[in-house]
Amino acid sequence: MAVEGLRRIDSTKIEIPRGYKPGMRTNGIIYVDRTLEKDLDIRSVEQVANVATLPGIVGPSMAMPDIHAGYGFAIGGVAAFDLKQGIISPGGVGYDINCGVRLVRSGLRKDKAIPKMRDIVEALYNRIPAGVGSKGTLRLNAQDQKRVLLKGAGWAVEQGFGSQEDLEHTESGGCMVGADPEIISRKAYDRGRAQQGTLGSGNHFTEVQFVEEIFDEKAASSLGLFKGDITVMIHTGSRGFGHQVCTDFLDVMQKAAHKYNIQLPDRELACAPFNSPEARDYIAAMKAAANYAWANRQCITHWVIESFLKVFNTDPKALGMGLVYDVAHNIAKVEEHDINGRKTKVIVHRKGSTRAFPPGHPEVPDAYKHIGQPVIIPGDMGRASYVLLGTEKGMKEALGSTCHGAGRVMSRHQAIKRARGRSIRREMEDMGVTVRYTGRSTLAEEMPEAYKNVTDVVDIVHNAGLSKKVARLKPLGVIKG
Amino acid sequence: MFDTYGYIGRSFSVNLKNNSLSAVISGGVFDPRVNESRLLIKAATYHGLSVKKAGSGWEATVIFDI
Repeated sequence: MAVEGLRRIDSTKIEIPRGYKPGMRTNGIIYVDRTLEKDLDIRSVEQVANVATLPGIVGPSMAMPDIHAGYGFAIGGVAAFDLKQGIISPGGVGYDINCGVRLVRSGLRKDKAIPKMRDIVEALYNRIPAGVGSKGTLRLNAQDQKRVLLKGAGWAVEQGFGSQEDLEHTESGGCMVGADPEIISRKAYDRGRAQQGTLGSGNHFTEVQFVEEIFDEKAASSLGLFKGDITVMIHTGSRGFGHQVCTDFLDVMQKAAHKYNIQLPDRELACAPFNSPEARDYIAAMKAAANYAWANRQCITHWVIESFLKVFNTDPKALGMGLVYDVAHNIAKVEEHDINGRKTKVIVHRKGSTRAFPPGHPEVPDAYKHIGQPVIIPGDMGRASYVLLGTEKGMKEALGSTCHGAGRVMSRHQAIKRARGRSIRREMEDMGVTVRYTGRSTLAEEMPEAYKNVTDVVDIVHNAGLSKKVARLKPLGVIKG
Repeated sequence: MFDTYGYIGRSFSVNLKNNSLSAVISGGVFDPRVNESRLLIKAATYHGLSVKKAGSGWEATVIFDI
């Protein structure tokens, strides 16, 4: 049932008019077609409207087609704020700071890999710690912990977990400059100490896939993706460390909102003026958590490659494994955008949405400058995932942003209820996907039908011109927490 | 406690007196061979947070991020 009071702009987007809710300073835009509009949750529409009430918002409060209700900001949300009049909000980044996803390519053909899928999945499961509260094999002393926060994926590469090329193929080079380890609470350090190099639980995974379909041969070839080749996708973030940073600063921001007289329609939207000391501290802490997450995904990538080397008893060159790209989908960044015809720096919040910069943009790595920034979109563990590229239209219309995944249609609780009496593992096996997991309820929560069909979501951002399809990847094996 | 030390409580004794609360929790360290990995609360949120009078007491609603 469609939400009342919204106006359809075209086949791919609807508007939340400024009068939808008192206090809206701008309109809202939700990228959604008529089919997915029927599933729109009014709570998520309200959340997009709530963001539009925050001071200094520049352009519309936006949401991508994988929108669903979150805490404060909707998941799938994109919003930019002026650096002088605007705010920064931890709720616009999310609890799992720099939750993100990366894609590893290989020269391995699927017919060689499928007969060994059980061994591959077992090797991944044995090497990559996964599950609720999982602890890694890395033991970091206080100095190392600080180095992780300052250097991000670069720290992991210094430890021998990867190469310089991996950093070049990671958003922001795998490190946001300006992290301050001294601003981090003792509790965040405690929660993060044993979790570096771990997958965690929930929707996080490591998945073995093959390239099922190519939509753009030239671009796919530039990314090293060829039909029938094996790829590996890693989805995780900053673990308990990032959650604690967010929790710590939500408290700070509650007080700041009161101090600076900012009216909040929802306490999870707690924020501070961008140029306030509270905002400066949060940004320094958020960058530290973002760097923690990039180091985490870099370490896991190393163990993925090690696992494949072990199963195929070969050398890295023969396997041809390398990082395609790594994107953050819970983050806030200062970026330059064309606002009303003028190049302007704004603070862009992306919560459950992905940066998607066009060809030629200075932040796109040299190897991909001619095609645009790769965007990695994980779907559910049964159907598909996608590789997209950023476009000029997306840069102009949506602050160079696109969707981040499939988006849930069922709550975790609903999914567990729906899975009662079924063997999700066996259903996955029947679909040709080998699954290894630690928590049975995690598997139920994450069953394919708990999510929208990622193809429907991706088709909307493709048809809207926010990003363009390059390849579809099909899952073969997955490890989950 | 769980994230940092892998500690899981088994028995809880909670004393609420006047405006103070004290508790004794006993348990041990999570062992994946013995304990089943289930739900982990990652954060307490302000989402839909409410505290209201209910009869002779108070009723609070807190939503946890899991």
